[in-house]
Amino acid sequence: MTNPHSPWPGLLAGVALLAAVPGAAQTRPTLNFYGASGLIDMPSAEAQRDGVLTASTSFFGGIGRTTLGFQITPRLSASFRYAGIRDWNATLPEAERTGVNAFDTYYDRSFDLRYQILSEGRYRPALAVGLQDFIGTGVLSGEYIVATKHLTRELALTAGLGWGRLGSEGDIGRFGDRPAFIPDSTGGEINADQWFRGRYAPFAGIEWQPSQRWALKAEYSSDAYEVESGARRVFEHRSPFNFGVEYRPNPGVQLGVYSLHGSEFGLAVHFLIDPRDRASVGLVDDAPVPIRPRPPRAANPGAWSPDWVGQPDANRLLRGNMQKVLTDSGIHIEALALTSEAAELRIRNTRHDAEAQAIGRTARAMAWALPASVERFEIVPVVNGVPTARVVLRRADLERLEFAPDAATALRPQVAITEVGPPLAPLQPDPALYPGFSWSLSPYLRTSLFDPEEPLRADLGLRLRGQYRVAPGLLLSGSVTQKLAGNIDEAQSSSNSVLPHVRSDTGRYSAEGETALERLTATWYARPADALYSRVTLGYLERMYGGASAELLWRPVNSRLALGAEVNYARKRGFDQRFGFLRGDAAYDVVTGHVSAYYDFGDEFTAQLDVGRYLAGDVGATLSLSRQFANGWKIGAFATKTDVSAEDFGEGSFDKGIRLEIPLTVILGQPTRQTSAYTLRPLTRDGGARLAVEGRLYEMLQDHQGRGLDRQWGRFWK
Amino acid sequence: MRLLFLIPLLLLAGCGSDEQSSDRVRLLRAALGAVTDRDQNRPLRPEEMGLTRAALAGITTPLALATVEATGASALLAPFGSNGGVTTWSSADHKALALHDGVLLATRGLGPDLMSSEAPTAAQIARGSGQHDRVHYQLDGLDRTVRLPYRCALATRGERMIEVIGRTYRTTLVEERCEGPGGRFTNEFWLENGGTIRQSRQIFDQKLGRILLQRIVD
Repeated sequence: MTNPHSPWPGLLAGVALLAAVPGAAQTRPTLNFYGASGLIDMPSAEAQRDGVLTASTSFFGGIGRTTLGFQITPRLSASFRYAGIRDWNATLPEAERTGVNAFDTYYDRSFDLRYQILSEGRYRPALAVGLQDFIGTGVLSGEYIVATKHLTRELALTAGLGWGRLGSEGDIGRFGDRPAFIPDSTGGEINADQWFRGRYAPFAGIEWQPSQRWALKAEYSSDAYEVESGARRVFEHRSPFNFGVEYRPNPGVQLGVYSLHGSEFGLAVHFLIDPRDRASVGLVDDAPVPIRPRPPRAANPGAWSPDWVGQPDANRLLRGNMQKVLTDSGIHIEALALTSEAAELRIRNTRHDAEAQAIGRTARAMAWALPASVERFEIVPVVNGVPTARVVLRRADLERLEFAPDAATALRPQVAITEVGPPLAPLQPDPALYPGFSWSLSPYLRTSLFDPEEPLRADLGLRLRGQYRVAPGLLLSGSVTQKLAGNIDEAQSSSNSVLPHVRSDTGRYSAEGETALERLTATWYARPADALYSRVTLGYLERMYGGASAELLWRPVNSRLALGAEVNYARKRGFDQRFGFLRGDAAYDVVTGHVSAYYDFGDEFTAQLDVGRYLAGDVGATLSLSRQFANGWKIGAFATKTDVSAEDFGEGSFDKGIRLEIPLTVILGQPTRQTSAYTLRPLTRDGGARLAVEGRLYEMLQDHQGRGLDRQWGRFWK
Repeated sequence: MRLLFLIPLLLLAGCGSDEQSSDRVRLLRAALGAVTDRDQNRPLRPEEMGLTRAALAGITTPLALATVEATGASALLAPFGSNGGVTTWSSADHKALALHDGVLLATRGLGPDLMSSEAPTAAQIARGSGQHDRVHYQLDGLDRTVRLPYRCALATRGERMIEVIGRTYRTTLVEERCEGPGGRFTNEFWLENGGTIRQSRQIFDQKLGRILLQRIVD
């Protein structure tokens, strides 16, 4: 080798060439005051990286906005926003301070959707269309078409046309009429009748990113802030020109300082999270045991003898040896079945977020401990006593592929994942597992959001949980909570709902249930047939209801489609959340039920449709769409429309919200099955409300079946 | 940013008898360690381990010392199993390296593990010249296998006298320079006369860099 220092100049040149391809967007897409891809107050045609979640908060001139954003697909993004306008009624005479003008700060929730029609090309600008505040009372409503083009690697120009509030400054024409904004309306309806109607006005701006960290922006805004700077005099709008400087200390944070409307200073902070990244470097856990290869049969025929199977103790001894290996990995053996050529091991995985990793470690333990004549390994994951799938491997493949290049991909075609079917041989359970008791004591946080009086309320307390596993599938569990501090009890002291108060009494439950029996249930899980799962739950099902719940789910191991049905009888519990139920006029009971269809589109998207009867006796359907990343992040939205009229439902018109589930393993870089789940509703009302039973079947089986296993198959050998 | 993660974590604090509770305690401790950079379980540096020839005198099992260059963390490794000529060397704190005649094929327990690889054989390296392909397989944040191909060249850098825990060895240094779309790196192998790799520096992850591997007891 003559020049070992640069052996591959050709390859380097290729990389340099790739980096210099013109037309590709060179600057990073930044966020605006609405938490959307854009300039300062105006949008741009850029999109964030696919899948990126953003949390933004911005403030200027008494106007604050907090926005959660999600780049749903490479072109489609959505935002949910909570905005507050201070000094809302300051200029109004006392007599007019009623209804929506009763509040000195006006709070409003809004949803946006944006779609990038064209991505940027060599000569072609990126083009996007957006709907801002398209459901709801519409104080922020505006629509736009916008184009963005990079002139150099660092410099991008944006120009667009806005309607609604984005067409209020320097309008150049109009398309028909646009209904005026009425703050007192109920909101919640999709305001399609006003999209791209009324006056329209141009806006434009420029963004320069001299370095990876800094950005300078200037824009001409087409928003005159007519409501805020008009009679209400929240701030003074002197000029349509805005200027800003932004700094990005790391790729996950954007900070900005701005001069706005010729009269105000503004601040904005954005957090960007890519669910695909692990917060720490990789997943740190203990090394698994290596595969112990069997001696060659010719050299050691004695080791291959199948005679061991006649030993009366064989099952117990082998189970014990494997459990020793698996305990460190948080895997418990539920039962073992043996023949001289095959073994079926039923396992409960309590630690690994990737079931494939638990399967891999179980296979290693089997190769470690089982006699040489056992060639076929059948591993059956068990959740709450219910077997979920059968994973069949050949021991010779494990021995052959342990150190093979890309061993996980090489092994997968040799593995069969099928329905559980009948056991291989009589199963011998581990007698130590049942009955079993476990408990935990931990803090809890309960929030009540978006009350116009006080947008963020919370209770903090302690929760004591206990679980008694009577037999496989039969579970007694409960939790008791003790509130330590909080202010949720100040909320909604009297609900104004015209429907039965099935959810709107939260404040009373919080006020009177300082020490509460949160749940106390007996649950029986079973698998009546292949691909069929059932659940029956009795007792105090949740904070507000007790009763009975029964569910049946059809979910074949490798199917995209699953179907379910659930029927519940629910009785409203006493506000003190002890053992009693409400009596007299307040007494309430109802039979609810749903049929559900679940579909996995692949590519991370799933949908769920529930049709049935809800807690207030209303009949309707819920559609949920979510994107689930292989590492467990789940981001979704749901909407429920029932036969309750928008008027009876009250503010918000129908039930809707977003759901976010964060697997703690990606944050901490250690394996755990724990996740943090949040459901965010703009409003919690009584229409379209469902019973919150724990342990619904679809979620329970999610990770333990064909598609869930395959998504993280790379972890098999980890 | 790290402090932000503490907020949900504090809600995880707690105790109990179930796996989730012990998880919670484990995770909380890890997270606090990450925030304060004070980890009680920090692996020791070799000098802190008191490794001397005298201390090793009575030991008959093969031993190797591995040090992750980026963190300075060291561990003593002993052979734990062998399959098809590849030996799994494990440490007491459950880290493991898979070595084929001293050539690193995989790591476990190190975080961004090298899941598997296509690497040259020790005999190929001992020749000290020529070109070859190398492929590393790692997992990304979605647990998908990422294939990192490299084109590599071997070069002999001459004789080197090296000291491994108080004993001097006469070796030949062979460098393996690799370059690919994922980056570039140089592995170094100090080979004894018979071709045994006495000491090496081999990469396992682009960010965490190389592992210094020393055979201290044969």
